[in-house]
Amino acid sequence: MAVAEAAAASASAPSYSPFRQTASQAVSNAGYVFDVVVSPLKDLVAAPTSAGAIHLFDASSLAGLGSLVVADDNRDALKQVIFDTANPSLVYAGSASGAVRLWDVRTGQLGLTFQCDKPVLSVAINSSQTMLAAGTELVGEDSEICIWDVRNHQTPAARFLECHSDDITQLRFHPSNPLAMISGSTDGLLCLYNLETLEEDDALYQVVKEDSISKIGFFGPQYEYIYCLTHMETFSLYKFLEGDKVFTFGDVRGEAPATKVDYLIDCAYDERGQRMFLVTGDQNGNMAILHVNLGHLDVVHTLNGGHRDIVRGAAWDLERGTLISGGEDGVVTLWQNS
Amino acid sequence: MLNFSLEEKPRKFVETVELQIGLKNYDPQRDKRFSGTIKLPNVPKPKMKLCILADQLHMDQAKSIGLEFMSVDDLKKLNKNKKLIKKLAKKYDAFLASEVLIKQIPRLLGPGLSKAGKFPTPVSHNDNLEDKVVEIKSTIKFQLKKVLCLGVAVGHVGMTEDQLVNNTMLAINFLVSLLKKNWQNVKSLFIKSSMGKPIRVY
Repeated sequence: MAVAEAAAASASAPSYSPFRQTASQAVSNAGYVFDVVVSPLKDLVAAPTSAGAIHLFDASSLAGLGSLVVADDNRDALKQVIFDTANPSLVYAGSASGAVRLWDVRTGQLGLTFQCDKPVLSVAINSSQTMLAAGTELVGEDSEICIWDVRNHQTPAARFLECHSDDITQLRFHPSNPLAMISGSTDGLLCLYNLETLEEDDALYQVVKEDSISKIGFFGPQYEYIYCLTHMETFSLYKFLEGDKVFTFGDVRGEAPATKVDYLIDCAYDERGQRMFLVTGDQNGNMAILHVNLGHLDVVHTLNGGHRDIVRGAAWDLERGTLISGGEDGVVTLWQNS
Repeated sequence: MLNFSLEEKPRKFVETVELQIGLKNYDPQRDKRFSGTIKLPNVPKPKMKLCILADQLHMDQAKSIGLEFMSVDDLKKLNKNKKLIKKLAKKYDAFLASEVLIKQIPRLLGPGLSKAGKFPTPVSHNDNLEDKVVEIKSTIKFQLKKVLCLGVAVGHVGMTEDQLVNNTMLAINFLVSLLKKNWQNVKSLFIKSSMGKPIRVY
């Protein structure tokens, strides 16, 4: 194992060929492109905008495939869009009106609506497509996680009102365990749930004290780790089942002197090489990719000139050698290094 | 600075000194909203009431430094009763917990402390408990929500001018570094004691 790792490390060292920008699309009247999400078959990219539309692109060429207006005014501002884990043309869109709507992005048809009574900030669907969850803003004293049995969209199967004391910015189901869910909030808590029971007190089994959470996700060969990015631009890794700390990098902004890091965008995991990467950005829209080692971060790519403002989302397809980014300049950019 | 509130019009309580930041070119609907914490060099909230959910070693240490504590047995006695846990959360400003206990908190107490925004900070046996207490008392929380201003307590009028300046500078620099365009997002900066007039510093 150690030999294999060493071999992988030495083989990987020279293999970081530089990214070049191959296509760019300025989305008209977009406001911000606040995320880029890739379909399960990796053929489509959806770019949700603060203007309430989802713009669709071909993932390999960035050719425009149309757009869908899913929310039209400020009250109904679009907050998160995710692809269904099975049907590659279905997306769930959560908005400030408290609705999570199911759309077919190919046909533009609206499917089911799942309704919360607070503005939705985060949405997640489990790997067996049986449970949908939405995390909300804090309204008065409460923020909540609504969980629906997808077959019964009219009433939530559970409402967790006590796990967080502020906006619930992130929700994720485990990619292969349909009953494992994690949530993150600006209250600084990372919560782990086992949804075998939908009783809040019993479902919540672990809490990790973090900082105001901006992004969380699972990674690893069996998705046995969790990464956590915060609004303080800190970066930490945890073991999945019990939330044991693996490593905390602290504030990453001073960690990589070779490049300017103003904020963290997201992580990318290389399944074949079993390597973890952190994608960062600066105020002028330049990005960097940092290889995550225990104890240090090494810059392996810089992606300059693709954006003129904060980059909000980056999706790296390591197999294909492409990366798609979207940002507050309303631009979606395709990069290639193969 | 405004330490005149000590001489000109002293009050019966120790006035808090607050930093108020007005923002511009910031759209809370689209731009990031967050809360956060900063550790200041001088304790801004000496009166904070803390409690440690302690294992045996930390119980002994807590006794020696006069820190209130609760044992696992004490927590078990609450019997996951929501009212009692709410009462416990109200009694203290913040909690610590021995690292070995922290994983049991959700099982012992349910989400009650989370709901109150007071989930404990872990302390390991390698940490100096007294330092950890000072650290928590030195840590301030700020929130950038739907409104374009942000207020945070950085000290009190019982502090020296140097201490106040140090705390204020650190808080300003840290907060501004988290804004997406740093100083370009800052419209105004005011410092104010509880009963005093706001003084504009930027």
